[in-house]
Amino acid sequence: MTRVSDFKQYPDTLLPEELNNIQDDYGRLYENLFPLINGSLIHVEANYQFARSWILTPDPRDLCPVVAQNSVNPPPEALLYWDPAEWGEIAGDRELKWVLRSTLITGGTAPLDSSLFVNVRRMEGDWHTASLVDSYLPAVGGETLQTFWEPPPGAIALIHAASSSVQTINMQQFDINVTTRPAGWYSIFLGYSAPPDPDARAMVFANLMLRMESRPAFPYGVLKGRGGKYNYLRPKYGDYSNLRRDDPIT
Amino acid sequence: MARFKTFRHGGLFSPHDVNQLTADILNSLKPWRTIKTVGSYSKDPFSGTHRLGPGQILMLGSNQSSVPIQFANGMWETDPVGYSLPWMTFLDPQSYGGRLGRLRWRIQLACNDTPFGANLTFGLFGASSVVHAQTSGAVISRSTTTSEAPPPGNGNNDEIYGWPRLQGVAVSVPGSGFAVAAPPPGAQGSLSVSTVMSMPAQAQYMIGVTANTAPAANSDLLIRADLQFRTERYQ
Repeated sequence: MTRVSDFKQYPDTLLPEELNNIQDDYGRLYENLFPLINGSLIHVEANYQFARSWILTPDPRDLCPVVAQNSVNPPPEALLYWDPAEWGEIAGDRELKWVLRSTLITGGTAPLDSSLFVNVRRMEGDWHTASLVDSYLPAVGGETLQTFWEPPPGAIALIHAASSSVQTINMQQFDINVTTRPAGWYSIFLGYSAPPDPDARAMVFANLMLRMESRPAFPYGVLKGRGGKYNYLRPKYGDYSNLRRDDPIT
Repeated sequence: MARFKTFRHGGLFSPHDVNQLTADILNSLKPWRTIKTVGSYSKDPFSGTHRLGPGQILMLGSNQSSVPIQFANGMWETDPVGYSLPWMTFLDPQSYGGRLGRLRWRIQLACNDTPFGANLTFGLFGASSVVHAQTSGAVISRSTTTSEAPPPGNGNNDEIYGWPRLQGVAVSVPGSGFAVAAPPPGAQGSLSVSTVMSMPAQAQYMIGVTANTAPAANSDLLIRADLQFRTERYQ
């Protein structure tokens, strides 16, 4: 992409084509992806015996099963506290979406024989001291925090469909409308449709990103002082006065 | 993307306007971007004892990789197992073109039903060197912790090599500290964001946290720390 600093190299007379180039750059700057959480499960086939649902975590050793919607000591680095206000201030009236992307890689000597569901679930209720003994961890006194997660939301799940092939790579992507997701703790979960074949080998990697959509409106400030007949160039949709113009810069 | 229809008026915008637009983008419309995420519990998942307390730095990674650091002589030093390495962050002020880079902390905390009883301070700790295990503490035999063969030329003399330890100065980078109170017990937890801090010198850093006092024995704290980055304006 053209660097922003290239703007300064335009000649005195700006051609429409050059202005269109600028607005393309501008759009790319606006249309951004921001990583939120990511996680993996590297023994999909073997972990089914412990739980039918797992929290995906960046550290493959930090396994966390979810049994009857409960989890004990979920991996902190795999948990996102989603606060719409945190991003709303930056986004203005631009649309925010979550992008859930998941990749399944299978191998071994048999097909996996199970469809896999990857979804984003929200914590229900508050954090509490653990009373369960379902933790996968061989912990001594380590079962200390317990959470209760909402049921798998079928409408916002990726599905890696069961394949008759042994070696597969399947990538899926799904947009989630974040306006329907209230503030709270979220994580990425993996579920199974059936017991996997023990001779199969499979791993899943998924990540959740935030996408800030571009908006075909001119920024506040550029046209400052230009009134009259060019007023139609001002942004139509939103109030840009909440932008971070007063942040300290030196 | 959809094009601005208003640009059919070629020549309406002078280079000054374009520079103003550039400045608006750079100075006003840049969200904070997370460049490192680490997390841990206060308690060790296996021993059940707190990793945070007076005289300790908890170097954050994942729950199983976070390392409690005993420091002496003004230096911190990892446990024999060098799991902390993947969680280092290289910060380079020269990597962002002619613009200034700024950092801030974004901290998520959650507590179980027992009040934690201590406050936390997050900071960047420089990682400056690697030392052998036997320079301090118990000697660790490689062969008991891994099936990996001893280093070439070393025979079975595991104790001489041991596991390498990461080492650095046990004082956080000036200006990088962010103090956060523990959230109330049995609740939703807390989300805290620090003020803007300047970019430290070019180096490798670990993200560490300290507690001002010993936490309650039956309490545990979920800790997630994001180091966030944003460019400012041209220097």
